[in-house]
Amino acid sequence: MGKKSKSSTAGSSSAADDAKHEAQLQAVILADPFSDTFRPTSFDRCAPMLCPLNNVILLDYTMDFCAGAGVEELFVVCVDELVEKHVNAWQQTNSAMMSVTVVRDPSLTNAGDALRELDRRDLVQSDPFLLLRGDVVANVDLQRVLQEHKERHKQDSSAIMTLLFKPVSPWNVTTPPQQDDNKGVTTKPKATYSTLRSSTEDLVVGLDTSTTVAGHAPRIFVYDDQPSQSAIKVPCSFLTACPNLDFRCDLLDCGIDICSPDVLARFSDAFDYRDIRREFVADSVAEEEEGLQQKLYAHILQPHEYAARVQDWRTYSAVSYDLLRRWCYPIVPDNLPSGYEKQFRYVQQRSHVYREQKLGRTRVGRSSVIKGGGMIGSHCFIGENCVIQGTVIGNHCHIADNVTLTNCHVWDGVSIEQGATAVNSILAYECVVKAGAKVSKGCVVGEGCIIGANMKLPTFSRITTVSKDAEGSDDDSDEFDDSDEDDEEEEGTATKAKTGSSGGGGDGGKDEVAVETDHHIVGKDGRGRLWLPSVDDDDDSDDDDDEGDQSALLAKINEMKSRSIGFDPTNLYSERKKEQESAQQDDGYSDNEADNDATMRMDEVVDDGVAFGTADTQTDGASETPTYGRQAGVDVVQELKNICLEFEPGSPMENLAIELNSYKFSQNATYSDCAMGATLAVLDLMQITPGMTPGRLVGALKSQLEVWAPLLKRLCIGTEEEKAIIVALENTAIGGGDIGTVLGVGPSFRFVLQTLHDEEVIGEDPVLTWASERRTEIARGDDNARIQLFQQQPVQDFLEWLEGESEEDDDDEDDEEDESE
Amino acid sequence: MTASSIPDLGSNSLSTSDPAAVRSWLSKHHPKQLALLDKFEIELRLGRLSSTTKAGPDGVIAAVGATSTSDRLLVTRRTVGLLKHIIGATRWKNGAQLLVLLRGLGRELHEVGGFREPVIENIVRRVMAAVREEAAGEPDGKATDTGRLSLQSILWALPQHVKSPSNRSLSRTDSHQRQSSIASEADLESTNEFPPAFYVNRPELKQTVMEAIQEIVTELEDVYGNIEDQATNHIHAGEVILTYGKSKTIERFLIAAAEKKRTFQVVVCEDSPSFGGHEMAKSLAKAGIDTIVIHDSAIFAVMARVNKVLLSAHAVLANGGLVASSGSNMVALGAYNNAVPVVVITGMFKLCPMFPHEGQDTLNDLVSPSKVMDITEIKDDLLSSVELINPVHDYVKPEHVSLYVTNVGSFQPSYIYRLLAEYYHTDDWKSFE
Repeated sequence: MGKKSKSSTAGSSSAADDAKHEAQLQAVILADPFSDTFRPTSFDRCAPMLCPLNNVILLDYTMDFCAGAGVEELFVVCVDELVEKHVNAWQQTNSAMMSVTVVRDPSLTNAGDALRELDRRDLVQSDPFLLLRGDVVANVDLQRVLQEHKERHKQDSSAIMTLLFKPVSPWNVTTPPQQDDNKGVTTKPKATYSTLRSSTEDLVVGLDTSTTVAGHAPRIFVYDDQPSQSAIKVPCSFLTACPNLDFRCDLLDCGIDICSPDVLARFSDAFDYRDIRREFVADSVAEEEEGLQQKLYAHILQPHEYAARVQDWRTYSAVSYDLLRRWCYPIVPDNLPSGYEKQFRYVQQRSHVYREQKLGRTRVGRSSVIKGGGMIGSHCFIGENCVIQGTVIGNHCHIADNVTLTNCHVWDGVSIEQGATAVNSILAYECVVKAGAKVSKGCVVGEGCIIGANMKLPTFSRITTVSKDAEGSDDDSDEFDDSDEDDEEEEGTATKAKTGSSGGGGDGGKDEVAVETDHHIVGKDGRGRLWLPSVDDDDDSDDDDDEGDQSALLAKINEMKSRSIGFDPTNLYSERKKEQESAQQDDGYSDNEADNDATMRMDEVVDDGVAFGTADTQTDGASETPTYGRQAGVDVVQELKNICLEFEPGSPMENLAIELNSYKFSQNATYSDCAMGATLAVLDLMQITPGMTPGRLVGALKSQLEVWAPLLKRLCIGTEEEKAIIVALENTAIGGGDIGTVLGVGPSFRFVLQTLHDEEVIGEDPVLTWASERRTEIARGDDNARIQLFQQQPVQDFLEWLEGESEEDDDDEDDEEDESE
Repeated sequence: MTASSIPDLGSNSLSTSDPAAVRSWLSKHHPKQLALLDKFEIELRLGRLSSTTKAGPDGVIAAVGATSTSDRLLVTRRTVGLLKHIIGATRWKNGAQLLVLLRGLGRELHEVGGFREPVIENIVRRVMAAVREEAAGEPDGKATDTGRLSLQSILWALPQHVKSPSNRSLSRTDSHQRQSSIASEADLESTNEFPPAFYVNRPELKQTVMEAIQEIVTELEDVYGNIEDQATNHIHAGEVILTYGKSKTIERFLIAAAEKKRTFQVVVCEDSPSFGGHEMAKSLAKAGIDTIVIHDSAIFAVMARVNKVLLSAHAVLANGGLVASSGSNMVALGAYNNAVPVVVITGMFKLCPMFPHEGQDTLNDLVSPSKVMDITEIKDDLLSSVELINPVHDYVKPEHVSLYVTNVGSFQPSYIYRLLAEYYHTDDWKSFE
């Protein structure tokens, strides 16, 4: 499985060339989206990058763009076998343009892996090289950008990357002022947005505009495209370093980067980077330490330059629309990319309708109306009285009479029967829409599917012929072999057989429930099942924290809808705006709290970390104080505890210590956090049951400490850490639950403390500082569960004994004790 | 497969002008030339032939970026350079083979987007005409009857001479266009499409053809000079000249007149939405010319004051009309209404053997509407349903043109078709479709 295949056509020659010409420009295309936004069609004949966009394979736009940019050697990184086949075929017809090497590895699951794989193979030599996503459509002339990057990199070796951005309109939601007349007119919020922008990103870029004189690319200081984040964080040092920091939310990331080879090395170093944007770029620009900074620059496109990514069906439709309207001139349908111009020639007619003229043979009924922004391929038949608007039609399509198509994408070989209607949909290769059927907005009808007569597909449904079992496996070549002509001939039997095997899941008319072949959706004579996103199949999604599969599925479905054609994002944007506005207020609070003293802050962290459910202390409800260099929303102590719990008792403690340490660094945590985590883990491992006597408790603790004491001692480098252990204990004791009740009742707490002291895990000093802190709280008049625990008689006895023991060394403590008593 | 049916051409020579055959022949025998052709094609398709920062063969660096005025002369020169390279490096034995190759290249370039840049096809035709001349003009000096058909030769020739072999071959090529199969073309090849002299293998032909091409190159280099020499004949002291947008030819024409101490005033139309007129005005003012910039809507208003209108051309058509930058028709019509003479200043390399059958759509192209409206303005579905159109060219009728000033002299529009016969061989007129 892990064996990598390499195209033999170009591989051998390019290797020899590399040594000779270092200067020749190389490019890397990541020809896989590493996401499931194009599903289910990505399981059919075409991988996502092989979808036809305006009757041209998507990947071919990108490859042609590379050829136009003067790239001499191209690497196409892909997962899918079909992509490899396609690229090799392309290479055959356009042999002289540039040498193309396919790097295929079915085990790649994300962009970071792909780059690490490239680095491992040591293929990329040129400085700079181009890094593109395979779904880029652009008309940008890169000569100047490349030149500028080269000069920057020469002057400053840490300037490793230049990203291209296109200004588009930023999203916003405005609610028109409510009129006070009593007509009952509800004013709807109105959203302004660019359809080129994916609904799942919300990009804010911070640029240093002081260097933009003479058209130089500004440096990026902030890159944040997470819609879940309501605020962006900017270290103060950045604000002092560049006074002209410009924050822009009107930029669209084009997926075109100019990189120095260092970028690949960086990916190899940081083995956990998965996404180029969210992880690598965001992290690199956020680095505060001057010496560690990698400088990334932004190149803002001119108005006449166009570049956009086809990330999902919604952007697919938007880019298609723009191409038809010639925004990307000269990348327009009547100027086809290399290889296509030999076969086809589209001629533009009024209102941006393009018709194939070279092969021709397309017949359109006299009474049919074809309106603005569309394409009709060769060998098509369009009947009478059709209304076709804004629709791209592929080759060999058959459209009968009285058909209405609005803003659809009809791929090759589709047949649509009399009176059928389709709105904002994708009709993939060779699918059939039977007479009178209605395909509602946002639907994707997969390859070879049949929508039965007079059926109405629900909005945003995706129909596929691929069975669920095949979906899971990476290799879908079997599905591909399942030739389409056969399917159409034996449609009746095939569907029946499928239904039988699926276990008859006709769950009424519910759209949310996935069933194998859904006759209630596609009709008796239909074929194909409703596809729904699967919840647990990838961990890329952000909704891990959702409870229950149902809500997770719902979130997935909502995301799928938002990525479909015809989705109206007004609600999405207004909700996002609301969230961000409310979160802004929250941030105001947390800023105030950041001024409070350190101990206070630490307690809060602990409170949040060990909340076992009740804990209604006064500090509760306050949000976690943000710590620099820490992933937002991560409960560090809890994570550390989990690391400890995952530890296998047999293996050396050394390993765990290293693991804790590295996590500590990655989250900018302290040893106190580690000690707390470890303590909580120990308490968990003691398997405390209700009604456990203090004696057995101590026994259990002792047996655990035999293993854990070395680690705890190792983690405790000072008083602070040892105190953290006590605080952890304390919080557990007052936190309720089984452990809490056992630990909080009677002399248990004291015994545990004493045992830890006896085992020399905690010394006297931390206990005494802890005690003095609590006493000051009492002096302030506080009274809560924590104080009550402290004031337990056994605890006081233990403290007294301890103080008596340390009296001779420490007079100050003594004084303090007297005061408080 | 067709190659084998023509034994005298040998298996390793090109037998048809089919672009695919030309490509496969090049990739088989001359991969380097194919790579060059590919590079040229992709730049042509992306519209970067005239505006790349990479210096051309003569070290010419064209303006970077967005100016709508692309330098057609540079495109022409690069095309000649490409043809020279391919002709010089490839193996062919006689005139017929070379013509087949050139026609194939012409079709290839037409397919990939040459229909947008008519000058490319024009220059291929020029080279083909030159090859015909060289191939026909044998050292012993006979067979001039297969040469170019000019009006003069038709008028003064004997009636039987008019039905010369070349005329017959014209009708034959016409018929072959109707049948488009490769086989019929191969038949034509064997039934001698070209005069017999073309099939004689002549090793020195390459040398003479290269010399002929060099002549064309020299002519192209002298285009501006020859036009500038006529400046004082057309621009008189105290005149008010109106010109539209930016054109290098007109810019140099006006500056040449100014350098010869003529004092005149120039009204420059700004040429929205690309605003080449601003740049034009700047460079004219730099040369010390009294310059006025007006917006396009004011053209009709100022026309009464104007003595002469100068227009540049994208292509000059066979009927004497011209394709010029968008808005030129408005200028021409305004001038016609006010009886102001319209003078078109252009190099003859823009002369196309085609007629404006499509009216305003002839050779027209719609470019990105980014200049009409910025894409950031498009915020909702409402505006995105509005159609934005940005055509680059206008067709101007021959009736609205008074005079063509070219590098080979000044002509009436009605005389243009005659020049066609001088420049290109009649057999090549329609061979690239």
